This record gives sequence, C-alpha cells and structure tokens, in this order.
Amino acid sequence: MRAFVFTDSALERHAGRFVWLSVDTDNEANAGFLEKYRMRVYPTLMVVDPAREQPALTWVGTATVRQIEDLLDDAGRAIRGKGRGPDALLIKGDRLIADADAEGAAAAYRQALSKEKPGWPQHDRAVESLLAALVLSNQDGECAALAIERIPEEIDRHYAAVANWGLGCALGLEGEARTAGIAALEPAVRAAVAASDLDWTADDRSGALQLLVSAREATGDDAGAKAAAVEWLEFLETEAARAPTPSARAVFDSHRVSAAIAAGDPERAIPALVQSERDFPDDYNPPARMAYVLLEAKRYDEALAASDRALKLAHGPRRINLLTTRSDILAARGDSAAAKATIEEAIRYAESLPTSQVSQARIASLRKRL
Amino acid sequence: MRILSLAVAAGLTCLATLPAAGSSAVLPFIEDDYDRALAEARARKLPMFVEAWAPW
Repeated sequence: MRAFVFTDSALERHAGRFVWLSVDTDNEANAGFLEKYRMRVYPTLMVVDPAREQPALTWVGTATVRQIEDLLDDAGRAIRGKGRGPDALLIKGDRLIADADAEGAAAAYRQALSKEKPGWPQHDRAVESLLAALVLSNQDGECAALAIERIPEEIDRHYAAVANWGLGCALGLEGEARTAGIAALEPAVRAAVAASDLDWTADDRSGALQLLVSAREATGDDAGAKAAAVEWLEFLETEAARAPTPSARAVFDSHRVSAAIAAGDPERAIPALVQSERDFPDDYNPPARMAYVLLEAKRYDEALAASDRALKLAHGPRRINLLTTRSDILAARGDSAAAKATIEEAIRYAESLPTSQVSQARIASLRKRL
Repeated sequence: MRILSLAVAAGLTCLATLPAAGSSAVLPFIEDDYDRALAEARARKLPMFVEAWAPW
C-alpha cells in the first residue's frame, strides 16, 4: 500500500484532516504501541481518537484509494460516536475489533447488517468487516457460509473481497465442508480474477491468484495447481516490470518467491532478488528471501551465504524467521548439531523480545523443533 | 500464525513493503513515533490515522 495507494495524488487533499502515523510492527521502538493496540493482521489501518487514545475505526487488510477515502469520511462520525441504528453497531464493531474482541465485533457487525435498510451506504464495509472478524475469531465455517450467502451478483471490488475472504475460510475447513466451500467459492474468485476492470489493488489480485493455487492443491489437482501458480507468477512479473520505481518493483518480491516455489521453479525468483539486494543494500528482506529460495533450489552453500547477509541486517521478530530458515539450510546440509544450535539461538532471541512482538505460541513452536 | 497465513492467502496483507525512502508519499506520515504523533494530534485537535504494517 505504501508504494501504490499512499502515493496516489487523490489522497493529497486529505493530508490536513489527520495526523498520519506509520508503524513498522517489526521495529522494537513500536513495542509500546503494539501493547496498546493489539492486531494480528497486517496491514491494519486505524483512525484513533487522540483524546481517548482509542481506535474509532479499524480496517483489517489492504484498501484501495477509494476505500481509504470512504474510511476517512467515516472516521469523523465514528469519533463523534453519533451513529444511530446500524451505523452505531458498525462503530461498536470497529471498536471491539481494535480491542482484540473479534467475537464481539462479529456479533456487532451481524446486528448492524440485521438492522440495515436497502441502500445502506455502509453495507459493503459491514459485510467485509464481519468476514474479517469471523476469521480473527476462528469461525471459518461461519465465514465461508456468510461469503456464499452475501456474495453480490455484480462482479465488482466488493464481490472480489467477499469471494477472497470466503475461499480463504473454506480452505481452513476440513472434510465435506471444505470441499463444498471450495466448490462454491473458487469459481467466484476465478470470475473476479478474470474481470479486468475491477478497482482492485495488486495485493488483492495477487492474493486471489494465490488462493486459486491453494484451492487446486486442496482438491488434489497438482497440474491445476502448477498452472495456477504459473499464472500467478506471470501476473507478478508483469506488474513488477511496469513498476515506476525500484521500491514499487520490490514490493512484489515476496509473492514472486511464493509463486515461483509453487510453480516448481524457485530459481525464477532469483534475478528479482539480486536486483533488490543491489537496489536496497541495507534491507534484510532481499537476502532473506534469497536464502529461502536457494534452500528450495537445494543450493545450500549459497543459501547459507545469503542467510549470513540477511542476519547482519535483520532486527526484531523477523530475525527469528531468518534463524529458522538458517536451521533448515543447515539440516538440509546434514549438520544437525548446527541446526539445533541455531534453533536454540532463535529461542533465546525470541525470549528477549517484547511480548507484543513474539507470541508464546511462536516460542513453543520453536521449542518443538529441538 | 494460521490467521496471518489465511490473511496472506486472502490477499489481506500488503505485498512486502520497503522503507519509505524512494517513494513519493503524498501524506505526511510520521514514522514509528507514536508519542510524537499523539502529541501533534492533540495539539492540532485532529484524529490520527495509523497504518500498521510489516516489512515482509
């Protein structure tokens, strides 16, 4: 979003309406912020009432320029707290989700939708916020069912968002519910991807293409999954090629790595990572991704060298991931003692971080690897 | 982690983000300084817009 949405000149007219804060959640300087405002999905966008230090409005996930403008317009009403009927319930849901009460938020959003009248301007946001709250409260079945029930007839940005949330939830189910959810929602995501005129961010489209890979994998269709991964990778390569700046090009790197691996051709991501490491020599992400790709490509010595470069630059919770990748590289080389020692180092480092930056579950998962 | 993975799959996490250097932001973001942003918001009597993101 920072490379594409927040650089859009359409937002310039809003500059004086807010104080704008950008929070890198990996930065230890933001530990206090993350203690105060708990969140589990990034990006999370919030409008905070500074008098009460409470979020008045929360949006989970990416947003288009138009959605940002709508959110900014909603924010004033939310801060004044003067909404009535479904608007008041929407505000209540926004506050609850920012307080990490996703279950309560889901109930509020449901109530809002039950009280809406035809043409309620907040309908789309309420449905998408309810889907997000259901995901955050581990109600995948409810989420998939809601997506099937609420998906609109017209293929537009809202249709795409509902289909994406729904298919993501269906993939989290098991057995017949999973099969039925995929059968109902995969075609919807496919239809959204095929619509060329959607007001969609590259993130959304990339996420949809990734879901289509996962859906094919879930149905045991290996050839279909590989074909979908190639389609995903080609989309990302096309977008990266027309990016106006090195920063805008490099934002596609992480998904290019995932797509190349899913396509069975991890080395296809290497040229992009070489370019990014050259363009951003102080950023740990390009060598970190390179280490992962080279591990997948079984080029272990080069993977270790990339891991060394990344660890020299990394800070915060991402360093834990780098150490686990390094452990995997060492294990793949047959050096199990060094692999174990690296996990022990990761645990010590994780335990040194603020609790807002690393969960106990994360530390427990590291211990299981010993 | 499952929630985050699902969000990634659903396209709900931003594509990997780099530091602002080199981008042409049109909004005057304060970087990683909540206390400063809060003080400014209170002084100017403006709400605060927050983007919390992850650099991966």
